[in-house]
Amino acid sequence: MSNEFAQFQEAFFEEAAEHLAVVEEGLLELEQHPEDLDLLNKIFRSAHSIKGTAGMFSFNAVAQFTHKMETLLDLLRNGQKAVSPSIADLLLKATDCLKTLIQSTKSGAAVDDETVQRLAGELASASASDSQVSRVNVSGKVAQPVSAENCGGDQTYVIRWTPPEWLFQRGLDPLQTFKELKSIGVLTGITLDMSRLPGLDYIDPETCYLSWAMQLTTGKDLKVIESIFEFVREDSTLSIEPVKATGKEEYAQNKAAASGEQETPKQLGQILVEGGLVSPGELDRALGQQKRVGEILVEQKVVTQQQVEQALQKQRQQESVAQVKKTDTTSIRVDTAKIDKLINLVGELVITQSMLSDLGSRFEMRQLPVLLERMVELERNTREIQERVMSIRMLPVGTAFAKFPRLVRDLSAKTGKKIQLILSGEETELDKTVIESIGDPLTHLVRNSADHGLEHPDARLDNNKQEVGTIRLNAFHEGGNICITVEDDGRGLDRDKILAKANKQGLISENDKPTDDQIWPLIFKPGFSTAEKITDVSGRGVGMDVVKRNIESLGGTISIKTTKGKGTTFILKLPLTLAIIDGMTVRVGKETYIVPLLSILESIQPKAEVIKTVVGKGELINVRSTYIPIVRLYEVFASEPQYTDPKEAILLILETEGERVAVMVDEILGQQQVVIKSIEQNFHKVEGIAGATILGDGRVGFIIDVRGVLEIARHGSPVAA
Amino acid sequence: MSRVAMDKEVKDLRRHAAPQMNGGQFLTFSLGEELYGVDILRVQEIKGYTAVTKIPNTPSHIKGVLNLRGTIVPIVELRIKFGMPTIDYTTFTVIIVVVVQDKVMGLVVDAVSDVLDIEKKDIQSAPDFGNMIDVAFLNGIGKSGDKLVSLLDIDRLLLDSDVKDSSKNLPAAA
Repeated sequence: MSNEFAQFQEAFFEEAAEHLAVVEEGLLELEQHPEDLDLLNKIFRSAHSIKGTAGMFSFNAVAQFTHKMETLLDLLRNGQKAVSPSIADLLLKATDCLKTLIQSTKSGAAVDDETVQRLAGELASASASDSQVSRVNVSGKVAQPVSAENCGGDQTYVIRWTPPEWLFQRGLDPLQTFKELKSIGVLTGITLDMSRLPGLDYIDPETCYLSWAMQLTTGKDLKVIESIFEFVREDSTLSIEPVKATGKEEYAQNKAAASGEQETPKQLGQILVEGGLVSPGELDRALGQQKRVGEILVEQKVVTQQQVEQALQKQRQQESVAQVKKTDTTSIRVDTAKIDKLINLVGELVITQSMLSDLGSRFEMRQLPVLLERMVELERNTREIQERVMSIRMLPVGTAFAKFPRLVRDLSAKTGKKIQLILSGEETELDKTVIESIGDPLTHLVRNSADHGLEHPDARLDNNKQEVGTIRLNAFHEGGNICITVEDDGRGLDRDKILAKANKQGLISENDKPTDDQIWPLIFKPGFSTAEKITDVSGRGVGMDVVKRNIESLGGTISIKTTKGKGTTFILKLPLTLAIIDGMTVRVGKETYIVPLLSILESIQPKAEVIKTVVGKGELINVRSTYIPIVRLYEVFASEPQYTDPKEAILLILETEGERVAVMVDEILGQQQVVIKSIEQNFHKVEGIAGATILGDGRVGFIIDVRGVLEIARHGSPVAA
Repeated sequence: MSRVAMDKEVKDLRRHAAPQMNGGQFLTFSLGEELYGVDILRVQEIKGYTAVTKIPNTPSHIKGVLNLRGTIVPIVELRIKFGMPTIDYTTFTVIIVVVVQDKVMGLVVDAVSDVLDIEKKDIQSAPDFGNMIDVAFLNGIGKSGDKLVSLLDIDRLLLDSDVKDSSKNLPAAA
């Protein structure tokens, strides 16, 4: 059963995540516009969808919790309660809690029950406490689950019913019986026994092969229950046995049974209780005496408490590792229109291909123009397909921005600053992988802006600024790249402070007079923080160096514009996609390599006098009075070059992680976009090579990993060739 | 049978066929005068030799990589791998593309010869030459008529030394 459900469950989790996003977004907006009824309805609908589907998959904890949220939302929607900041806050907290609940349902991890219970309680009290009107409404709404708790003295019966085979032939419907049972009490733990169901070939649609077991908690007499079965009693196998228990405990027990039955076999205690052999109270007492293995071992002095704690810690770690593995699959939602277009294009491609092969099979020279025409068509088709396929991986950058309104709201509360967040350019499309990888760096930048960039309201007023600080996130296309800017109107970077710190760390000597453009990038150096104190929000651990490294690993760049007292802007420039890069094709001997265009600063054909050597070996080139080490690519890759004299060759000045290096190649062939192919898929990583690509002639060309090349040049080749 | 089930079965076969030599069909090829065989279920395709791109700083038996319909496939020159003298490529020189634990690799051989049915009783275990010759990559010796076929364990032959990152060999090489 559960396996067949798995794929639907996957869909549920995806959908739930979307609904949760809607709820969260809506709640944030609701704070600004508390009387917006459309918004409330939207939130309500999403919450309701989560509840509905969760119930369908018997994720009872999720369904019940959402139900409580929904109750409160319903009151807000009906105008019986007004949206207050405290309620909005509570609902946001509840949303977070629901998120973790769903997450734990997915991974099977343990839930922080206490938080869930506490929030559920708060939700319930928020729903109930206000006016008399709402109280009536609530009890009406949630009558079903609550009623069992109210009927303390009720009796619970275990009913096992195997209807006669002629049930359907006489036009009787078992559902009707269940409905009647439900009308007199709470029906739980219904299980269906399909074991008598024959194969599809032998099934008689008019014969009833099913039987049921269920538990009914009711205040009514046994006679009343029996009377419900009156019409179907004949030839039925029916047993109605009372369970010795008070209703409340039984209700809880039933709940456990109902939720457990789907995937796991019943536990011993449960079976005993259901059979009426033991009362739930007795069972609980027995279970209470049971001890955990760790406790027993400690008592027997085999191990110490500490050791047990350590072992438990280890277990939790392993569990969390297992969870990570479990949730490894990713999926992407694609607009159907995009797929339809793609299918059309593939159709066209097939037609062009068949026309070409037809032409090829009986080709004569006079048909050359036709051939060329077809080739052009083929090229056009292929290019369009390539673009379309790429566009499937493209998502609007808004998905990465979505979490920031909440983040800024929380930061604002935490730091006591008034912050407004303005998003723009959310519709700009970006590769899915890029979007996923920029989340963390962007979060860091936004936190930075809120914590260090923006001033406190009174400081702002002193400086003739608006009380509310602004953080602006913007995304736009620029050339073949995507630019994302994080802008704040805060105090700006402090040149003197950075300079002082740089002097202290020995990055810059006292006498240097660096320009602004040289100073700002200093904040990306590891361990460089000018914040006086480490706050809860930022300044701990993950620094700007990590942001820079993350952006660079995506093939992007980051730069800073800042004016003291006016604000700071971080500009991220990212490639549209990771699958294609702009590269410079270069030749060394017979081999062709691709150098990522982003790392190339310039290329020069040096004159003899600008090349100097150190201890007779290390070569340096003087580029506008900076000496840059020369790396001969043919030496790094142990291949046969055309030129060994730098004067005849070309030097590419490359930059990697702030270091410059002049790489010597024979010739520059040109600049082109190349599709990155993995070498690791069928081979292992090769030092100095970032990936491979297919060149125009169908051969494989390697994309150079500048960092790797530099490493090889310094430490010698990894394999003695 | 569904496509998926069939694929799974083929995969299972692939997994189980190699370790115990139960006999079956082998694609045989020649290196000089010698005849070698690989389990036919492991062979993806055979293609004529085309120029490859040399991978810098790799052992000499790794010929380079090839573009196989958009996938980058490493090519192993079996003659060098076995320490045999290299010869000029002829029109018979082919690349046998094999699948080694989800990785696709190519073997350059002198020529393909035949697909042979070799029964279990005609397979004897690999002879022990002591330290003289390493035969760890042989699964056994097959007889077909008067021909002797060395049956290769391509998992051991290719995977251990070539596909996995051989970084642990570095100190020895340096």
